[in-house]
Amino acid sequence: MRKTTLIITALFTALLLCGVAYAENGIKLTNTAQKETIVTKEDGTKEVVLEQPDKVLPGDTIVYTIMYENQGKDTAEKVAVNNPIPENTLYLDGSAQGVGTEIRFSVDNGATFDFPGNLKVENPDGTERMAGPGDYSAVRWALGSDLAPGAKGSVSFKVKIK
Amino acid sequence: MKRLAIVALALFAVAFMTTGAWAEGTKAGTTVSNTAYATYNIGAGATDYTAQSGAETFTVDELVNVELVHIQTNNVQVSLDEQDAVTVFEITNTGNGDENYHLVANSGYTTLLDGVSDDDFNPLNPIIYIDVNDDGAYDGGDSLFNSTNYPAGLSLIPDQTISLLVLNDIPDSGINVGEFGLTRLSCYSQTFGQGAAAGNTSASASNGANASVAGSTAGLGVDEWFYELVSVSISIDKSHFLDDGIATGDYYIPGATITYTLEVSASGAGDATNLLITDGIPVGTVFVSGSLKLDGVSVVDGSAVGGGTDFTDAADSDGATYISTTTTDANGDTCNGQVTFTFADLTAQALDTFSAADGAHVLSFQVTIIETGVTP
Repeated sequence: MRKTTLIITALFTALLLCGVAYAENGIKLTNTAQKETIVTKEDGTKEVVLEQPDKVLPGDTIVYTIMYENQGKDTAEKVAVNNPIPENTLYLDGSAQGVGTEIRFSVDNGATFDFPGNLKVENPDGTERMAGPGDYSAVRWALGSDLAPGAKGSVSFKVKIK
Repeated sequence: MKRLAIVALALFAVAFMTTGAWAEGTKAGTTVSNTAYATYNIGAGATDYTAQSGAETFTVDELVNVELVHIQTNNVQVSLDEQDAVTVFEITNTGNGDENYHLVANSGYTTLLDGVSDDDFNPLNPIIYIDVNDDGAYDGGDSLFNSTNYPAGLSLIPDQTISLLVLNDIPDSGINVGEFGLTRLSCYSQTFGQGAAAGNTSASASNGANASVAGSTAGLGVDEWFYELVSVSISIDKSHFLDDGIATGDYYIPGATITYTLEVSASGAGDATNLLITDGIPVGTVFVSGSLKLDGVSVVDGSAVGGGTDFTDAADSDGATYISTTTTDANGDTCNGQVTFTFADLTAQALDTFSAADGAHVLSFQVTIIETGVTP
């Protein structure tokens, strides 16, 4: 499984290098990871705390936020942000967010994307079943509008450390 | 004692459910890396462009957890002054990193872990062996756990389970059949020690992680199990058959043959080992060579106690023997030699441990009368 992922990542990187061009001063992506902890306060209410992932243990929830900004001179069209689910983590159901984006998932390491209800995976016996969030290998946010120079936004998703 | 076992099982079940963390997870020290990509177009029909974020990485830290449970389901049956009685435990590293565990055996407690019941006696001299061959029995291949052999504790990789043996000696007096004594095994992690609490953190750099965190068990484990003093009693029913060669009447005359039959059975709880049965040859008779039998089958006479035909296929010293030396029996009567049936160290064979479930076994031998005035 790991081997397959690596090969596909390598292929993807190769495609990036030879198939498409990098835009000078185009869209810039930044990516941050924060650990999400739920703290019970003295009055009994619960508070979600996001902090630097200094101590990360199996079962912890990590929030990834990807900020995008068009630093170029031209308007970017058909913008899509694509994030493979990191190894050793599981996508948390319903956690992908992005205002004004259409969110699709992949169960084939980013080769194809679709909405959750349309995704299927193969059982060991050859039959198919509906894919669950644990099957997702990548998330894709398609921006609903063009990104003018200087425009920016962010998308996010959460994973649980296996 | 059944009740006790059920209580212990219930405790185990509760511990199991509340501990929860069965294991594993991503191994401590693993790097998790995330990179995002973007694709877009500029201008109609223009080239596709792509962007890539930097790789955001962090390291998974060590979660220290352990599970320590007893394995036996019935009390360990022991006898007075028994040496090296064995209780069996299992330790599992339910954390996500390589961790060392220190083990402590203590048989001096009176109150059980349930905090309610008391035991009846204290087993002696607890020592811990790592059950290297994982057979649940104490044997030569097992490794003594002490601070010399394991100065940094017992090393376990995540999810690894190792069987542990606690050996005890049983007191030689002061306890009664049916009483039980507990022996307790506990463990603590090398990283967090004995006083650990869930949530403790340590900046130890083991496992390639940045830190270690004490999980719900805090790296502490404890369980106990019980020895029960049992007793088995052996009864021997002796009878004889006279063959005087005369059709009517019994005449104890020179030349007549007496067949002595010893029917041996066990009653009570537990097993008897090292069973030795001797019987004297009455004065005025001589032993009939070759007449030793076990369950009707002839056994070869050995030259010394414990010699002769092996009763079982175990390679031990059981057998039957006739010794001609004049002896005095338990009643103070002089005997013209004696026969001995030895069931020495019979383990895991049909006749090995002699328990009530074995039913009766019949030992027999013959003598010939050589003098007048003999009574059987």
